[in-house]
Amino acid sequence: MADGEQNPPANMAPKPITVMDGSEVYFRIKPQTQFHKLMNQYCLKTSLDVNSVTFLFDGRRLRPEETPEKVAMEDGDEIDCLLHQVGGGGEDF
Amino acid sequence: MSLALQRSTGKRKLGLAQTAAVDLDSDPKYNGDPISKHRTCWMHVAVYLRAREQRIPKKMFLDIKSSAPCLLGNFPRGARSKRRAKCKSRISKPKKKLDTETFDRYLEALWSSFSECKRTSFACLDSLWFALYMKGFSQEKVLSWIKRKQIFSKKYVFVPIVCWSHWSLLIFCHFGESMQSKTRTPCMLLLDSLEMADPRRLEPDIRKFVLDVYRAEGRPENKEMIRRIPLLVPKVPQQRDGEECGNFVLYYMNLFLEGAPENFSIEGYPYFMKKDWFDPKGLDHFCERLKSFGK
Repeated sequence: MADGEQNPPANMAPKPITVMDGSEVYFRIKPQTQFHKLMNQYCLKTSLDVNSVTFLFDGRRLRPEETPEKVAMEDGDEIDCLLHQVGGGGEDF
Repeated sequence: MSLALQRSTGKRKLGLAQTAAVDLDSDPKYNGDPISKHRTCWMHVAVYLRAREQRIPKKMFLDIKSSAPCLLGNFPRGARSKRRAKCKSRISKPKKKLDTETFDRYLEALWSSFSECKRTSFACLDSLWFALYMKGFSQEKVLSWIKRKQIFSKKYVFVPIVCWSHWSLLIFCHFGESMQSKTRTPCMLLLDSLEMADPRRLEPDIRKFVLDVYRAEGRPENKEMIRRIPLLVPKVPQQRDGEECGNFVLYYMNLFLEGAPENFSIEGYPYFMKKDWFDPKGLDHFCERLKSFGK
């Protein structure tokens, strides 16, 4: 992110997003951009419902209003995208 | 003319058979609907009688005809209402079932309601971690996240498991202690509100998980010792429908946090974790509390 601070508009940190099935999608995002933009874009690309997934960065869940700057994300860091799991009693699958 | 009429006229001329047959000949097919669509009107009665070759008095038949008129074709029919479809989808959507997002939100609120000193001896893993580990793609990552939780310095570690649409709770007890310790025995508790689904089905995965956790931490215990860590499945209160297990897991956690013994030993097992641990009233009250955390 050091480069990003020197020249914020031009230098954006690419954020690869790893999906559960192993496929990867790469994103460039400004350190000050909120994650909801990335989340929506990602869901659009992968035809997922944005409410049915959650994004983990380093094991913790990302909130849509957070930014890469806030969670101390660095260049080349990975975000995991996971589907929400529902549990009731195993009646219907 | 239908076949039935020919047959009945061949036998004997009878008012009823004639009426029914003649009407049927002109009526049931003229609007193109098969007779199965006429379940609610007199035509179905007529066809039934004809098939059985049964006869009823003409007056009775006319009564049926007037009291159950055919509405097909002359009654406006619209397309199936969209509202109904909408309503249906809303019903089928799980309302009470907890998903990992809601669970996490509740858990966070619940966690912060306990005092700091209480929390220090406990740790809780994210509900998605075990699921992610089970998927088998990012096990390394999950193990490194767990490492940061320093679970070997905690007395108890909660591992909420959501697997095959069912929530259950795994608790690691005294993992940091020596395997030979009598007063603080390292062991695992598996609390499941659906006993009939056999909680032990998770055991192979749990064993694998625990072995990996020990290895990632670089602990001295060997494979055989880790394999011998007892996995206890106490008989705990059971859920009443197919939706409650998420709430049960949270309630187990809450009660365990409140009443966990200072030193958990096999001798004292199962402590409070019995069939009559709590009553449904307590759970309902707890659910209300959870809902207030919501939104």
